[in-house]
Amino acid sequence: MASVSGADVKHVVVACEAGMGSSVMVAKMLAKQLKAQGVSVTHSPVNQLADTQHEVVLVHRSLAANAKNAVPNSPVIAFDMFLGDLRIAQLVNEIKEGSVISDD
Amino acid sequence: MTDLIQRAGIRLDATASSPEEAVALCGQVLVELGAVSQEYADAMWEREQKFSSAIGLGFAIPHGTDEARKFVSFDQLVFLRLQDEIAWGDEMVRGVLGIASRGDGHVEILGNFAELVQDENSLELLLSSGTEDQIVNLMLDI
Repeated sequence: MASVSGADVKHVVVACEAGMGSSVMVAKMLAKQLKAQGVSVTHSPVNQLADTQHEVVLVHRSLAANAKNAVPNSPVIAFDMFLGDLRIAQLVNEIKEGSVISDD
Repeated sequence: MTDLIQRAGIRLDATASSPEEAVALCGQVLVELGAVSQEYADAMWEREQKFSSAIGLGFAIPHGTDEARKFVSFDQLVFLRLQDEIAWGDEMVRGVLGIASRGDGHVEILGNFAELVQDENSLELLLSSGTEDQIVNLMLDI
C-alpha cells in the first residue's frame, strides 16, 4: 500500500489504456473540480505512468493492477463508474481537506 | 477547420442489435466523413473488446487504440441515438459517442459531454427529443 497527504497533492494522473475516451473524460471533470486547489489533472496510458509527475494515480478498477505494477510506490486509487463514482468524490474531498489518501 | 462534431455525423434513428454493430456503425460514419480510414474503425472494436466503453447513464464512448491514431485524418466525434437501447456489458446503452482523435483536441468537448449527460434537460435532448442541430449546438456549447 502507499499513501500521501491530500495537502501534498499537486498532480493527479488518470491512467487509461488508449488515452482517448473515458479516462480523458474523468480527467477533465476532475480538473474542473480541483482547479481552485491548484491541482493539475492529466491522463496517461498505464504503460507510461512511470514517466509522469504525480502524487496520486486514479484508474478504473479493471486496470488497477497494471497501474500498481507500473508505479508500486504511488497511491493508486481505483474507481468503478465513470460518472458519479463515490470514490472519486471522496478523493476530491481528501485533497480539499488535506486528509490521508491511501490505496490499501 | 472542421468542427469536432457536425450534422452529418449524427444518426438519430440508428439501429444496432449489439455493441459490435453500434461500434461498426460509428466507424462507418467516421469513414464516410473522411475522418478515419477503415483500419481505425477496426481498431475501435478491437479496443472495445478489451475494455467496455460504457460510461453509465445510457451512454458508451467507443474509440480506437493509441496505435491506431495514425489512421485518423482529423479529430471528429459522431453520435448515434439507437432506436432501442441495447445491453452493453453490464449496462444498457442508447446514446453512442464515437471518438476519433489524433491528440487531445477532443478533450474539452468530452468534458463538456460528461456534464451534459449529468444534466436532466441535456440528457433528454440527447436521448429523446433533440434534433441534429440541437445536439451539435449542445455538444459544441453554442
